[in-house]
Amino acid sequence: MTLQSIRMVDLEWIHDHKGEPRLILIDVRTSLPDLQVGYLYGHIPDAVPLDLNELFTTHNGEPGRLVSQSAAEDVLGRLGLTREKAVVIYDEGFGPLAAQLAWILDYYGHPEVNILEGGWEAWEQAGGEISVEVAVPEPKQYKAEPEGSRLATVEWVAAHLHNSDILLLDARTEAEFNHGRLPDAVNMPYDAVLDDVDPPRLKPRDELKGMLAEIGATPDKEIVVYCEMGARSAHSYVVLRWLGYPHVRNYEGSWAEWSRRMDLPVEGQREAAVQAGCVQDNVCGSMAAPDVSSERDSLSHGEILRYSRHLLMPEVGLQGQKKLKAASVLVIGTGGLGSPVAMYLAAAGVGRIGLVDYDVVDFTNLQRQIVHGAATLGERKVLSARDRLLDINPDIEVEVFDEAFTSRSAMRIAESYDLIIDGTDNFPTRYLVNDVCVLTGKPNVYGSIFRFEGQASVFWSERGPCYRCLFPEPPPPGLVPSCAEGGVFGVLPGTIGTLQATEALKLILGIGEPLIGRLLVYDALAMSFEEVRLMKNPQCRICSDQPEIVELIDYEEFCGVPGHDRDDGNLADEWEIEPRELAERLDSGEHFRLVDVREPHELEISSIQGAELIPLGSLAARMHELDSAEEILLFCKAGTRSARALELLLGAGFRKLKNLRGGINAWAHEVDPSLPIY
Amino acid sequence: MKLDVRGEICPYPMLKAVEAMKRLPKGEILKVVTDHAPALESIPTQAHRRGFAVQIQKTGNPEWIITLTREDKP
Repeated sequence: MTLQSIRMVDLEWIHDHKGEPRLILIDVRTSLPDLQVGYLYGHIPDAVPLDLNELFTTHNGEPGRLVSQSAAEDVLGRLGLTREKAVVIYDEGFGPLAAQLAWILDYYGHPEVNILEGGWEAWEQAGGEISVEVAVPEPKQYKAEPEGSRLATVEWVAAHLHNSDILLLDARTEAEFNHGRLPDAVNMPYDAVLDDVDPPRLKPRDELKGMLAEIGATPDKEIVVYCEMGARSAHSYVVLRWLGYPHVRNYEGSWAEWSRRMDLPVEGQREAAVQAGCVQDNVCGSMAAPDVSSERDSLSHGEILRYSRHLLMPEVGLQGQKKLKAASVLVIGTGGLGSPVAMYLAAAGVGRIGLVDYDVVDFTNLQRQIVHGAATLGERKVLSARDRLLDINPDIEVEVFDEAFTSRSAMRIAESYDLIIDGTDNFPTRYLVNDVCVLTGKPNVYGSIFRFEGQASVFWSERGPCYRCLFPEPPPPGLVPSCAEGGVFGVLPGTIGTLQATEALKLILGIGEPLIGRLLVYDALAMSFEEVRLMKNPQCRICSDQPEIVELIDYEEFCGVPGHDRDDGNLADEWEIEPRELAERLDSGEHFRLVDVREPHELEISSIQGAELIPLGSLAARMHELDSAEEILLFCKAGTRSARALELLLGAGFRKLKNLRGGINAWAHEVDPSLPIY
Repeated sequence: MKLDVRGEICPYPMLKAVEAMKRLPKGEILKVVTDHAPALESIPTQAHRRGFAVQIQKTGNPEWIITLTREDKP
């Protein structure tokens, strides 16, 4: 390790060394054109300008991260910098900007790094010569030699928590510190080291050492400084290095990164920060970390072998696998979406999976609901799914809720889970899942499917929009057909459900960029994915600052439809006709119109002789083909669409109407067994 | 005077607000528009030190206007 340190220099020093070819002055001030502040409006002669933003970029969705070493070498080389040069950095006074460059150069092992104390303000006050000539340096090759011990990464900090040889020093304001901080951190705002005059000067060395000793920051310790994004902490870093502290690291990702990781522990009143309105992006607010300190804190040899392919990747690793084991996920629905979600979560080792479904396994489910099989036809879906999951992975816990997810049961069921996966097939339950998640602060991993198209997103109101921000009101009843009415490409829920499982695992592991604020729209026919940016709705009825909805409501009433996907119409008995009665009336030869409101391709599956086809979608346009004086008997596959057709005709003044109860499937069952049921 | 620092992250909103406070003509009010939540704490801390009264108004999601008024010294 090199022994170089960072020095503070004064105006006299600059005058003494002016004109030396070894010297390079770097102006890192920010620019405020309205106030004529910045390099262009006047600087120290021969100084070269550097916009520090060139050294920072957005990485994994987090802004303010250091660019790659080669990119940094390019930027520094363009300034005419080489390792032989003695650098003097100045900003407005001595603030976080000068400190940030000093830290970067120190980290890159630059031998001589100086900061002009008092900065530009001191220069101006002392009547120093001011130039408006823009320096054009000759580009050089800069070679960085990073000194790993000057930088702290999130992994390093996480691995060194609760270590008495290491002190975490928070350089933010007291208010920020109180709202949320790293465990065991101590606070010393970065500017506490400066006096109150303009330009501010560093307090005397002894006073600073005393202040630091008081909060436990002594030179025998390794001191890790952090702030919001690593700039103010760079200031503390510089001061500590200047004071001769040998072991100082700047945690570059700082609180912005730490607080975003739901798996990492924090102290303080983070909720208060959320309430204060910092609800979006990476600034604050995070889900409570799963409790990794319980008996779930270790992996058996069998588990280590089972998850070997996870453990090989640093993004998961042993720590990540333990997080998965400690996590709990509630899957609402064990149908098309719930099947792949639950199976992949089980395979990945999510320690506790909850399954909610009130239905039994139906033969028509097997085309897509791959968690079930022919062997479990007619069984409770949650039990069928549980057996399959435990067959995949007997090391996990599967909790089943053989009941509907309703306003009455939702909170009880959801309470103990870290995150919720929406695998529902209807609007009332979808709004319910959303509202439960908003009210409890849990992430909602959303997916929906229809025919060949699917959508996925992560709705997490503490971090971004919720489902109601996107869809404040449900569609009118009947406008969007269910899978049972509209059909669904069997493999489609496999794609969307797998995306949901991916997002859930990422959230638990705290890796990558979650689908928060983004709606992914998938078209299986075009084989295309599109992304729609979603904004939080400031007037959202549930997740805005002044929510109208503060508890669960009646969702069936809100949506105007029942909270399930069963194929039944809701007509009074007087409008229904039983299959046998229809058969008798057809046999008797009496006159009536028999109208099949299904789609043309469904005729190939089954049909009733004497029926005419008017698909529901074209009924309104073809109503003139019907005569209200004649009796009209309507049917479809199972009775839902024809019930809707009947209501449509009622609204148009028709009165002599009947709906075939149970549709052509009931007809096939009771009257004509030669027809297939579908 | 209005200072729009939307899109800028720590420490720029705070540093620019400090520069603007230093140069703010007498009797003028400084309005800082930001979408960076940490600035809601770092700017008021600097403002109080410089004798400014602070008022924060939420204007979007996320967006705030921080109004800084120089307090008259007796």
